[in-house]
Amino acid sequence: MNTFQIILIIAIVFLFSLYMIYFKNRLVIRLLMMLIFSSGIIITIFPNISSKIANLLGVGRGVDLIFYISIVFGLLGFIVLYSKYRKMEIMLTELIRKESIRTSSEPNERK
Amino acid sequence: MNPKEIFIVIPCYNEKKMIRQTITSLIPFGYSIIVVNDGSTQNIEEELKLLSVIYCKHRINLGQGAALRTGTELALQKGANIIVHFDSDGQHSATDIQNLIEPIVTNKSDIVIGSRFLNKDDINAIPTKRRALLKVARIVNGLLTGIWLSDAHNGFRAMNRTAAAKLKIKENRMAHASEIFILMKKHKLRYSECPTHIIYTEYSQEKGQSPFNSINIVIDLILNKLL
Repeated sequence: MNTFQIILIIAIVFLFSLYMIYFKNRLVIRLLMMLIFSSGIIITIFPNISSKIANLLGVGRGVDLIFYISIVFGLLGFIVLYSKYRKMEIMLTELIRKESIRTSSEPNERK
Repeated sequence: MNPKEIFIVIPCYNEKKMIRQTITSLIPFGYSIIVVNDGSTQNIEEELKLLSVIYCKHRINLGQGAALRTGTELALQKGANIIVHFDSDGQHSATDIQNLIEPIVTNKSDIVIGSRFLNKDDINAIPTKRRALLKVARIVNGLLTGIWLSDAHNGFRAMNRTAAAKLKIKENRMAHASEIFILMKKHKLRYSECPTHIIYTEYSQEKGQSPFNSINIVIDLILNKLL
């Protein structure tokens, strides 16, 4: 195993730990992350596996396969995050609106 | 109709320079005025001293769409029969309101949208670049919403109670103008256009939207339609 593989595995384990901490009550996400990160470690140690899968799928190189999968997951992550952001924005707007209407003042109430 | 039942909703973000002048132009008509301070960093309240307006404030800046909805909801709670959206930067003319609300008073329309493209003098008053931009916006808006009005992004509009209660704007920022068209179609509201005069000053043009922001509005609309 070369130095780069060791650094990569340390980074994967570190990220995996973060996911496990942040998603305490989300079993599905935890199981999915276990699958993704363990695949990551296996592919880091045995890079030929990704090439073999890539050949089976007709993609060519293993690196290309990982790149394509990363793009799909990255975009998926962005859409999920954006839709959550929209929901949060709508809730925040509603909160601010209610407070704003509740504290509104009539002409004779201001100096 | 008692002018007090006509509520003018003015969203205001850092318009310290113009807000007092805008409100002063409306006061002689006797309308009820609501100013929604959209989280301005300037002291807007100070400018409203001794003016007969209903005032509310967003704790943080949410955008013009959000401010309009807040003002509209407040107006409905206060018993408004007609609600008019009016810009705070002095671009809209108070004397146009009477014409704008006419189709609503006579029960011919639920909502009336102001247009800069119905009167030759008004068209000529629009700076050339802006005119071209508005024409493109009209086409994009028509394709996105299915409503083809002559002026796609005129913030000067009037509506009755029924329309106001149905137009629940979710677009906090500038895409609300197109969203209103979508909601008009969805709720089958009767709509019409009315010529309105826009005063283009150096100040208002500086504050106007850049063409790049228009692209942003379209992306906002598409994203929020999909998600």
